Amino acid sequence: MAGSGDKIDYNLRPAKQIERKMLSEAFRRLSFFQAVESYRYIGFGSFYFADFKLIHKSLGITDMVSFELESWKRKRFEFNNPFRCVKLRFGHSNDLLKTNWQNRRTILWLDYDSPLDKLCLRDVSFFCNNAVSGSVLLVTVDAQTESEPAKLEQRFSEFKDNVNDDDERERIPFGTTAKNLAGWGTAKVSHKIIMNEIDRVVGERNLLTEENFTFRQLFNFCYSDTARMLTVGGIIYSANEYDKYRACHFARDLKFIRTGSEPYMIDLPRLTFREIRHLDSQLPMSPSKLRAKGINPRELRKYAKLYRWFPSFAEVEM
Amino acid sequence: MTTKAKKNDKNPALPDPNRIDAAPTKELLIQSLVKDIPLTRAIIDLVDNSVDGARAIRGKKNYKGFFVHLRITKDRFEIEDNCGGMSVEIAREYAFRFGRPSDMPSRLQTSHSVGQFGVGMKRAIFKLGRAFTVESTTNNSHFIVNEDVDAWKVRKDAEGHDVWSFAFTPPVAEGEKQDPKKLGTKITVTRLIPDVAKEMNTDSFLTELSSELAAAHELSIGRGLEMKLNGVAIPKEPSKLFVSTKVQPAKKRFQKTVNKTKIDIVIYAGIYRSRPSKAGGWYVYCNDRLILRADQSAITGWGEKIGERMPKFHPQFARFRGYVFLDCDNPALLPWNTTKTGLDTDSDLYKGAKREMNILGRPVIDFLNDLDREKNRVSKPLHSLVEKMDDDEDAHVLLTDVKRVGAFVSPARKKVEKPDSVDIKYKRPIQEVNVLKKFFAVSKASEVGEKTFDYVYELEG
Repeated sequence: MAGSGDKIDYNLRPAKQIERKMLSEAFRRLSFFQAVESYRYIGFGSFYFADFKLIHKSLGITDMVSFELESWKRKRFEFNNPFRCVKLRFGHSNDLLKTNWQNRRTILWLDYDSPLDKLCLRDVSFFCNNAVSGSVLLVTVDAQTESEPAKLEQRFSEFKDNVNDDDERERIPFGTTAKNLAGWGTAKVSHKIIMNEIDRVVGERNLLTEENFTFRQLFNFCYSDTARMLTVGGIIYSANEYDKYRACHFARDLKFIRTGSEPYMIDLPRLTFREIRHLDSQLPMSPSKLRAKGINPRELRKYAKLYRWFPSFAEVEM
Repeated sequence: MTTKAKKNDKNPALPDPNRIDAAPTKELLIQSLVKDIPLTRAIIDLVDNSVDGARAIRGKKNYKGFFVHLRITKDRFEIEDNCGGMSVEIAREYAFRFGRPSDMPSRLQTSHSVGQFGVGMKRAIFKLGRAFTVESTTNNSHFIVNEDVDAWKVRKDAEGHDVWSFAFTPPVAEGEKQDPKKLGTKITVTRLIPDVAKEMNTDSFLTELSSELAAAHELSIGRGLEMKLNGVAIPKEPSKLFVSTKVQPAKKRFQKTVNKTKIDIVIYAGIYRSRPSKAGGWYVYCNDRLILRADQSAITGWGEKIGERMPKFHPQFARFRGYVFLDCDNPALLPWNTTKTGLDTDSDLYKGAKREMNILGRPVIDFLNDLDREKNRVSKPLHSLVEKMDDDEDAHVLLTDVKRVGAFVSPARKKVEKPDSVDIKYKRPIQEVNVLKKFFAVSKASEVGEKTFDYVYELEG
């Protein structure tokens, strides 16, 4: 939702594109709740609307809303809007969610490109308080970190300030220190904070209602196109729709489904187009049996894991 | 079974060397009972028992014909009601016990009762004085208990153990038809604690007690129960909310089942007069007894973020009125404390209610904020709207007459467009600014500022 639209063409983030395709494949299974094309999709399209393009084309969803913070760039967003069915709304997601929320099954992708903060958590909490059974929440945050120990301390204190609300309870998981933010640690801590928030708010929602909601985590992606990113997500359902949730069988065959704190790493192999075509002709196949000249077996394993969603970019002269 | 058998085997005459005495003393009990309750609340506790009597007979219907009369003089406190009385069986087994045993047969319990913990009557008596008489008549029994608390405190049996019983003053009538005109209970406390006697006989105390009784038992008084203090009727002050075509209070019902027992919750949130200024806030009732009155603290969600974010209470919310009614057959499931002055905020039931209170209350707060923002403007449509309702009695509607279930309705908020630009101001040496004037080919320093910003934004933004 923030301004990274200018920095990089979203289409050219290969890991992100893989993530989008995987998610889209998982969304297909929502049809046990209702026809996927009749879901509502809310996202942060930016100038590129990459998620909107994929979701509209592959799932047929037509009720689509894109939130944009930078209202002063309205003209450019409108120009880039890829489909008539995508509605643009300008403002902060905290306000837009309230005013644009409808009581229907929704896929909400809070696709921030900033680190986790209290405002993100406010959106998460809104979803958990209001989502209809069968709705899906995705949260993407920047999980970049520092390597120098001194800077890490500074980073940790900023992280704490960003995440904690003035008079709200402590959100940093008990026992976390600056060291825990190193490497993929920021992603891990952010994941924990998001899930804690979800559990707390869903728990509160269940205090009086007889519906009894459960939020089930399905996604925990980590990848690094430029910066380290984390996407956490899952589905909320009421006790009486548990059977529908069961019928979706998210974990069956979808190897990227993650229901716990261990993330699914989208780790890109470095291959030439020629190598890709050569490998594709042998797939699907156990990675150990793949034959390719001079390619490190580790790269082969990476590719075998991702090949179905692997994007192909080429420079085209027009 | 084995433990029971063992117990019976024990010969009480032989002291067991492994036995450690942990029995409470009467003094501790008396002290801890009276310390944490204000005088007015202790007295209201006695009234609760009378109201329970009326409720046992008529449920939640009309209470016409029932009365509770309180008389306070400098050497005597007296409360008398005609609400059905207390049977000898209840008096003998339960009413004078400290705490209600959990195995009390349900036929003896009042459904939806206010009395719950079995401490109210004793606590009030101990708080007030050192001698008491309880006289009660039901349709087939009659008794009198007359005790001196100081004498009881030191009373021991032959073996030197504390005597924990009181005694009926004979004759006790049981299973004999009584005069239907005499049904009811009368409690008299004498040998008043000097400080208490002094306090109770001030006009300010009587006024406060009357006001607290009016609030605590507003609903029962509304049903026709006659309540008098020293001969003066406790005023009927039913709660009202503003209702008009443009402003409608929120109302929502919930039901929660705990251990197969249903708990009903009804929440109202809306606006009313801005005066008295202390009247703004939440009113929480358990089985129709007011527990929190105009609460403006975190206990009722102010400054909290469960379900919705509520601001801390602020004078601009003086018109806010929220009402919460928790009702249950079994009073033990309700989240009140033993003094009925507060709520068990850790209970899931109350947390759940608080979440819904915040969700229903938040739109009212938004409206009151809009109203407040209008203060310094020329056109004040919201002010004229609420001020008109202040004077229009037809817009003041009893809670029981609020029929519509739904969220708070108020005039649609006018969208105030936030400016999407800001001023930037800074100083730089003239010489350096002149260099950039040349570079950008402009003449004004402000243009240098704009150009440099655009330049950097183009490259880095």
